Amino acid sequence: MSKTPQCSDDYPEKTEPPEVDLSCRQDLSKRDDRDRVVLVMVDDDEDDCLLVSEALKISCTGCSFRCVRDGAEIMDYLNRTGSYNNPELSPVPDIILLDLNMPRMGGREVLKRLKADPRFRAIPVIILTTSKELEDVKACYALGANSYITKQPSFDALVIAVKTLTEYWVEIATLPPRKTPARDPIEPDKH
Amino acid sequence: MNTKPSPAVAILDEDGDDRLLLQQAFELCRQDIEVHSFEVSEGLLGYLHEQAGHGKHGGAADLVILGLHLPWEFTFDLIATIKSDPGLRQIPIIVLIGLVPDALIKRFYDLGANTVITRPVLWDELLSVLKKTCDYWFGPLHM
Repeated sequence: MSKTPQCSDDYPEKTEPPEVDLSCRQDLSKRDDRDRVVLVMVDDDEDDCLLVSEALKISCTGCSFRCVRDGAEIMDYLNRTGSYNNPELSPVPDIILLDLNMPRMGGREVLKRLKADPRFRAIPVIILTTSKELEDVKACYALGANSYITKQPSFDALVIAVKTLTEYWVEIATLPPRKTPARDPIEPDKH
Repeated sequence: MNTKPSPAVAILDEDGDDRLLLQQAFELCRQDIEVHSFEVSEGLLGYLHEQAGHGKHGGAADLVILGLHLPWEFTFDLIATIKSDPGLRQIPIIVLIGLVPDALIKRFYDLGANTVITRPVLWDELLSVLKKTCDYWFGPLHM
């Protein structure tokens, strides 16, 4: 398993890099993350993270991408605990791509926690999973998922899917504003 | 899984002209789309309850569009009503807005709106936005 970022262009030097940070920054400008749409993917499959990262480089030059490996890690990321205490390296997501089946804390539990927390409730959560089970779809929408899409069988299909996704969420949708309590800075979790 | 032969969109917009434009734009996005438009929320909710169980995910429609010219508090209440109803909450809601303060956008998402979209003023731009919306929600990618 690679422990280094897969896309390193223009990436700031880290003093304490998170263990499985697959952060990528498209390098067409010198803008920082405040000017980019920050997507954070939650998935224990590093290959899937890498493929989405590569697809985003093709389809969304205004996107900044992070990947964390499970539900417990996204909660660390959002609460800026553990390896994620540096806001520069762990900007609050504009969009979360969430897998369902993961060790430690699965996607449904993450979704439940995010949508119950006023700091994070507004962040759009897109379920990105292999599951096509109607029960999963219905349960995720009932828990507040903003969208539910399925993983693609090939890289070519993934590139098209990511293009469709970013055209909608980055170009068409009006995302929640950044200057809110759910953005910078995050208040510590008091629970 | 989809028990309907074609995707169904339910539109609420109290402005007659805008409602017609939205309906026509959706009908141009896909030939097989079913568009049901309503002037008042009672009509929309009545339709959703009447159709409950027939939509893609067991809901009444595959997408609800709130093209709003309504008082904000009224709109908040409507989203909260749909999202607190076990038979309706799985239906994605898209809120079409004009220029509004950021706090209102956040409030829409907080209440459970699936997407907020700033409504284009020009017809061509509206068509383009709704085409991409159709491609996203009714394409092969989406469940």
